[in-house]
Amino acid sequence: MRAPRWTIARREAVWGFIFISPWVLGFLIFNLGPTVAIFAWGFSEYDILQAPKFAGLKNYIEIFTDDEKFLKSLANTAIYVGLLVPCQVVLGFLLAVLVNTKLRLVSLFRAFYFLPTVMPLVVASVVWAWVLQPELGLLKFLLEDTMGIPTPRFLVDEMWSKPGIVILTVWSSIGVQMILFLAALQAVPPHLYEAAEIDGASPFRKLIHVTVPLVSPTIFLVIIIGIINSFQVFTTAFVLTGGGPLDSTLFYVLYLWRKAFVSFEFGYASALATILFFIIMVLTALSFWASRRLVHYEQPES
Amino acid sequence: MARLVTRRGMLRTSAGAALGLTGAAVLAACGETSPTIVTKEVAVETVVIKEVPVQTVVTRTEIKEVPVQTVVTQTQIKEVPVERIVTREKIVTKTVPIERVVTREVIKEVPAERETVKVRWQEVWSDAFQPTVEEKMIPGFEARFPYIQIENERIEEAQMYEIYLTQIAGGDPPDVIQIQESRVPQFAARGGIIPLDAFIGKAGLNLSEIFYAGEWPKGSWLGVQYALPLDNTGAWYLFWWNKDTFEEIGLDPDTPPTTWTELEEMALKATVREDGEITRHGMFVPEMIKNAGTDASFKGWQFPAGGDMFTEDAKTVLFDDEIGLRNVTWQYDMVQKLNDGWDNILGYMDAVGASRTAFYNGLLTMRVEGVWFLGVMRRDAPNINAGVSHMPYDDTNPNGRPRSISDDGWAYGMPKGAQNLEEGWEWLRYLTADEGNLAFMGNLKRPSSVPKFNDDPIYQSEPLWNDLKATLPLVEASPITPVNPDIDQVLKDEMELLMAGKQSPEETLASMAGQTRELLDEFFSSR
Repeated sequence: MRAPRWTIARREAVWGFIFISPWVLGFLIFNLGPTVAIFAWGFSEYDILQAPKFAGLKNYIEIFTDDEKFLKSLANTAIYVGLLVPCQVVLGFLLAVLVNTKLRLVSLFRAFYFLPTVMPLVVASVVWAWVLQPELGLLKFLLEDTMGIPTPRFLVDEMWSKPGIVILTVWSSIGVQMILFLAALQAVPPHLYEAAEIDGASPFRKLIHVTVPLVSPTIFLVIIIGIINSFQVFTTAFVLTGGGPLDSTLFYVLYLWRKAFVSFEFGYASALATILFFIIMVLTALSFWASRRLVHYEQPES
Repeated sequence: MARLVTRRGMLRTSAGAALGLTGAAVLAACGETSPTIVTKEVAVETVVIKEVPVQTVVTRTEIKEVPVQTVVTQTQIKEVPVERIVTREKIVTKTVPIERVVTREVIKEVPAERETVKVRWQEVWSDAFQPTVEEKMIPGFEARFPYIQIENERIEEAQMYEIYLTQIAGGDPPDVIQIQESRVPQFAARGGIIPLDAFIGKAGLNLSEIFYAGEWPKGSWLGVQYALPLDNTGAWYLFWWNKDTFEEIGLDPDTPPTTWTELEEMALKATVREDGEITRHGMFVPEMIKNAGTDASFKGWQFPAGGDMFTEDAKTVLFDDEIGLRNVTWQYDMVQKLNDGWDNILGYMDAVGASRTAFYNGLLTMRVEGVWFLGVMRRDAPNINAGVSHMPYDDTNPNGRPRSISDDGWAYGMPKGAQNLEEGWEWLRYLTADEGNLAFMGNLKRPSSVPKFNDDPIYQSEPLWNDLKATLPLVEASPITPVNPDIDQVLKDEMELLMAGKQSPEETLASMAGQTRELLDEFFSSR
């Protein structure tokens, strides 16, 4: 007997392709071309105003052998990612646990925590610049002037500049992580908690042995998105510190931007962008590799 | 067949003929010479494009006032048979009994019909006064040039070069752009901006007669003019002091320090220490003005120190000398003497302008910032009793004198690939050398690059205006290199390392000079 031409699986696949087609088209039209161009320009001397000239590996050789700021900006970015991503995961998760209760007005709290996410980052940066301002800022007034607690000199001190930017970024992005975790938490089957309770598990043990494994795919997602986004940090440093003090917030993309649009070394900047692309790709691949052991996926019964 | 003429018929015909002749005779007797009706079209030879409010057209029987804007005549001021009157909108062909058309003057020959040209204008400043742009500047210009239509595209200053470069690379640039003079050689040396010399020559503009001597050279590169100045940067660096604090500490509030020695004495006098902590600062000498474009205290004090930055061709470093070292050392010493070290003022060196707030609140007595600070101060602290003057100079150097460096400011130019050069030039000229400049700068309460505009009544309500204006002629244009932004970054970074105690003044100057030479050599060797 001949198999039906349109199986359910095939039909679902077609609909799936139809639904993702806007993204695919957008990627092909707006992302793929520029990405290929960036790879190509990385091998050229190009100032945008004149046609690119082929330069072979010159840009890459210079980056790896004669560019202190490349290493400095990469190190700054790595430290920033190392500080930010764990904060986003832990605080986002805890916040989601808090707003996953059945209290009155909980929807209001969810909206309240999500609100900073919709604020433009430039505006948020200026507001936080005044909050963290080490001489005349709100934080100093509340802690040091009122209670006598010494406050770090965020943003102007070489040691405290990155934490200052991390605080702002966590504040402005935590709503997204909270929503992701909240969705994951609400998908945890209640009968697993009931079973754990019957076994005498404490709330902490339920959290560790039930909740965390079941939301681990979301934790993984938040980490991946966090790494990809935070490696591209630009706006906050551009507005708040301009890369200072003493280049301590000269992040990779800020340095790349300077090369492209301040120095007009677009070929060099393209090479930097290509390197960043591969760094993020490797880190993402490593995360996926690590996730095989650490992330728990519910397997559908065969 | 012969027709029979009756007597009655003959009488009727004779009477009719007689009546006709009589009528003709009466009409002939009553009337003068008949008007000449010109029906043949005359070739257009000269077009008057200047608006003539009223042309007097003399006809045989009446004088008509016709609002004629463009009149086609065969010859100028001459009795001619005219039959075509060209109005602003269209050519109207009339057959009228006109004997004379008197034109006032003939300005220039232009095609009889001209299509409207849209000029795309990108700028970063007009958000605060869009009504002036839309209701005054653009209509004023378009009335003068009816065939040009201005399209104002305001863009964000922080993204302006990304936008310009992308548009140029994409082949769709605007016709006129606002540009920082510190970037003009960078664009010019790479062919990114169009030379204006031909337009300037054709218009017969003498730039040194129109603009301040310290302003217009900044829009040039290797002797070619690429941009015309909008504002007077008034010295990128000016000296501001709090008069109330001066009075409080027994200083004449109207007499600022004019030399480095006086500055040190007055700043020390203004400094207040309580329990080992400074509660009021006299001055932050190396204040690096964030978001002001240069962030370079080195350049700011180099001219009053009696030194220079580069040779006229912008190829050779001049600051690597005793004057440069004196500049660096003095700034470092002042931080130790006046502020007890960099750590005590680091908190004010931020991006949000905390030192401005400190100045408004009386926590800081004297400071350095450019002309724009006047408007900023009036907005933030309108009642502050402040004074403005030129930078104090190094009186230990025999060559030290009141002078101000100016290696930046705002100008207008036309980017590579601009489509409407003639029309764009007219708008550029209007914005810089003409009324548009006053309208723009007057709104900002910032000095214009055109001296005569700074006498305009729009500025007279500002009490500090005359003091500020007096500093403008002291401004000297410093040569600007095609790698200027990179050099600024080097100077800023090195001064920061010095202030943080990570290197000595000698190391600072050597590193600055070495890196600057390297940047210049690399650029010029690649050309």
